[in-house]
Parts: sequence; C-alpha cells; structure tokens
Amino acid sequence: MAIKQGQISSIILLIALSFFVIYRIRIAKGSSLPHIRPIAGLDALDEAIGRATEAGRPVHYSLGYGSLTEDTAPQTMAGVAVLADVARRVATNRADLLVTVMKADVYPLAEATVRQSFLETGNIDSYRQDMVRFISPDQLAYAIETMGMMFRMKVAANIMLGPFMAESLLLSEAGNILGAIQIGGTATTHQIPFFVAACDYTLLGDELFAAGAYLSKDAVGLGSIVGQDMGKVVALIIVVVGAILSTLGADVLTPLLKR
Amino acid sequence: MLMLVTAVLVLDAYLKAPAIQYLAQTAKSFGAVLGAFALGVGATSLVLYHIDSISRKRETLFESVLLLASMAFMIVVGVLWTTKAPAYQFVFNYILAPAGQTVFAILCFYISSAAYRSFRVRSVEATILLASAVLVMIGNVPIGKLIWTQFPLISRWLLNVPNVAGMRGITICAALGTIATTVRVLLGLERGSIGGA
Repeated sequence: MAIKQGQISSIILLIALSFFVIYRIRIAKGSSLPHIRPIAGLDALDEAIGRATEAGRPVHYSLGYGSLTEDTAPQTMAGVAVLADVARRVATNRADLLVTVMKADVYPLAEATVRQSFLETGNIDSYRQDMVRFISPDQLAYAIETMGMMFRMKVAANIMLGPFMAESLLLSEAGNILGAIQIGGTATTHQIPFFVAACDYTLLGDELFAAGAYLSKDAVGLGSIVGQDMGKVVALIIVVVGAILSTLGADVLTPLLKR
Repeated sequence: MLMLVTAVLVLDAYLKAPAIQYLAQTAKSFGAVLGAFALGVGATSLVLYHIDSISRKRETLFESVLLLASMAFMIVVGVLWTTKAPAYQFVFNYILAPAGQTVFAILCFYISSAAYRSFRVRSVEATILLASAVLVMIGNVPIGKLIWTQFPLISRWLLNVPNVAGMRGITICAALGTIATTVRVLLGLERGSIGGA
C-alpha cells in the first residue's frame, strides 16, 4: 500500500487540519463555548420568519441543486442544518413553510428534518406532507416551478442556502418582485455576486458552513469552526511565505506542495 | 456505516491499495443504486401531489394534468423505444430544450434589474462596487477602447487581480469548511446528514 503520486503534501495538510478540528472540538466540549462573530444573515432569520408570520404568508426555503453524493454535499448538509432551525421557528410561530428540493436523495432528508422540527416544538399538527416538495432534477424546470409556486403562494420570506447555479438569480428575482425578505448563502463562488446583488442578506463561503453551529450553539460545530480558522491561518502563512519566496526567485514551496 | 464508507472513500483518494479501491468502487455503486431508488421516491411524491391537485381542482389543475401526461409519455416512450425514438427526440429537441433556453434568456433581464437595484451610491463599498462594475463593463465593449485605450487593461486587471483574489479566498475557506464537515462525518459527530434535528 503506497500513497498516490502528488498526494503526500495533501494528506499531510488533511491530517493537520483534522487534528486542529478534533483538538478544538475537545476544548469546546470541555470548557466554555468559543465566541463566533455576529453573522447578519443568520440574525435576520427571526426578522424574516416574523415578517412572514405577521403577513400570513409562507416562508420559502431552497436547498439548491446539490445532492448528498456529489462534492457539493457539505453545502447541502449545511443548508439542511439551518432548515432544521428555520422549521423549528416556523413551527413555534405557527407560520407556513414551503421547502423546495431539486435532488431526489435530499427530499427524504429534508422531509424528515422538517417533520422532526415540528415534532420537537410540539406542533406536529401544523405539519403538512406538502410542505416539502420535490420539484425536478432539471435545474431550469426546478427554477421555473419554484418561481411559480412563490408567486402563487406570495411568499414573504425567501431563504436560499446551499449550492446554487443559475437558479440563484431566478429565485432571488422572484422574491424581489414579491417584496420578500431574502437571505441567500452559497459556497459556489460564481453565484455569490448574484446573491449579493439580489438578496437582503448574504452568507459568503464558509459562513454557510458555520451557520448550523451558529444557530444551535452546539459545542461540536463551534469547535469545528475554530479548528477551520486555525486551518485558515496555516493557509495564509503558506500563501504569504510562498508569494514572498516566489517574488525573490526562490520558489521552494511549489515543488513541496506538488509532492 | 456512514463513518466507514466515508473513511474508505477518503483513503481511496490518497492510497494505492486494491482492497480499498474495490471497497470504494462498491460504495460508489451502492450510492448510484440508492440514488435511483431516491429518484423513485421523489417521482412518487411528485405524482401524488399532482394527483391531489387534480382531485381538489386547484388553480394549477391544467398544469398538473400536463405534467402527469408528459411524464407518462416520456417514461413509456423512453422505456419501450429508448431515448433515441423519434417521438422522444422530438419532445426533447423542440419542447424541452427551447423551454430551457427561454428560461436562460430571462437571466439576461434579471441580471440587468439586479444590477440596477444594487449599483447605487449608498456607502463606500457600494460606490467602489459601482465604479468597478462601470469600468469592467466599459472595458468589455468595443466603444470602451474607442473612448480610452486603457479601459480594457483596467477591466482585465480588475477581473484578474482583486476579483480572482477574493474568489480564491472564498474558495479556500469553503474547501476548509468541506474538510471540517468530512472530519465530523468521519468521527460520527455530524448528525444532520442522517435526518432529524
């Protein structure tokens, strides 16, 4: 058994980051919870759901195009983590919720998460099977059907958290036309500008991954975020040192990182 | 089981071992089979919802009938005569594909309306955004070079330096978040992926 060509540095960095995450999770479980800076988009969830409750109009939640078997699975899982919290708040307020799902393997997870959230708040009688809808695995068919439902139901809040492609702008503009309060978040870099332009609040990149822990104040999640930050420090050091060395003509880091 | 499958797939990415490769391949095949069954669950949910729509005579009655009829048509034709059948190809090439292109075309207008709303002089950051957007747009149209020959260079610099730097920073952080999520799944600490709050 040998390590594959060009993966040595990658596996070392992976082990280092894993160590940081595990170490910080242990510290978070043992002592006080780490502090996370305020994230405006997540603090606005109460406002969004409250506004929808007052208006008597539903909250729309989209998990994006990702499935649980592709490389976008972590973003989808992050979206589901926030969905649990949103569903709890909707159930507590006795508001209406519409969750649209594009990939079939996410549908059972989303449905179970929403039902569980309603059960936990003691309002299972408010839960309806059609709150979570599988629309279509085709990106544009999903976007158009979801837009149609948003217009027919006149949603008051539009929350889009997960991996997105072209449907991000389509859904955002539909929400804008309705005057809905919009919270968007994705780690898909080429869609972030559309969310920034069209949404009231945007979660950028790893704010999406921090969202679940931020809302639940869970020690494992918060410790994991601090571990990620330690990884970011290491990445920053490598970038700065590498840039300086390359500028001085001593490009020693690149061959090391390619091993 | 989730921890075990994740560990096998991660090890397969880094190690050359026939046993791990075989296990990883088997796990991926299982994933494909489960995905197909999940599609069946999703399709069933879709059909039941639209049948309920039709029985309750909701305002979307016609759309529900159309959806179920076209779904049935494509499934029957695709299964009996394969996707190369003329009828299947006709529906795909002359109905589905143009419909998708139409939706894509709407994006052009939506980008314009989103840009019109967001490019305002409200704060320092918004002003910088507005100035950058104007420079990039002018640099990318032929008349920009006619007005001033340096506009394309400025536009390219804005796209290749600060824009790429920002995107790479977000990409690195997102990648770290992905790895942290994977570590939590490996350790069995990530419960969200198996349902329940």
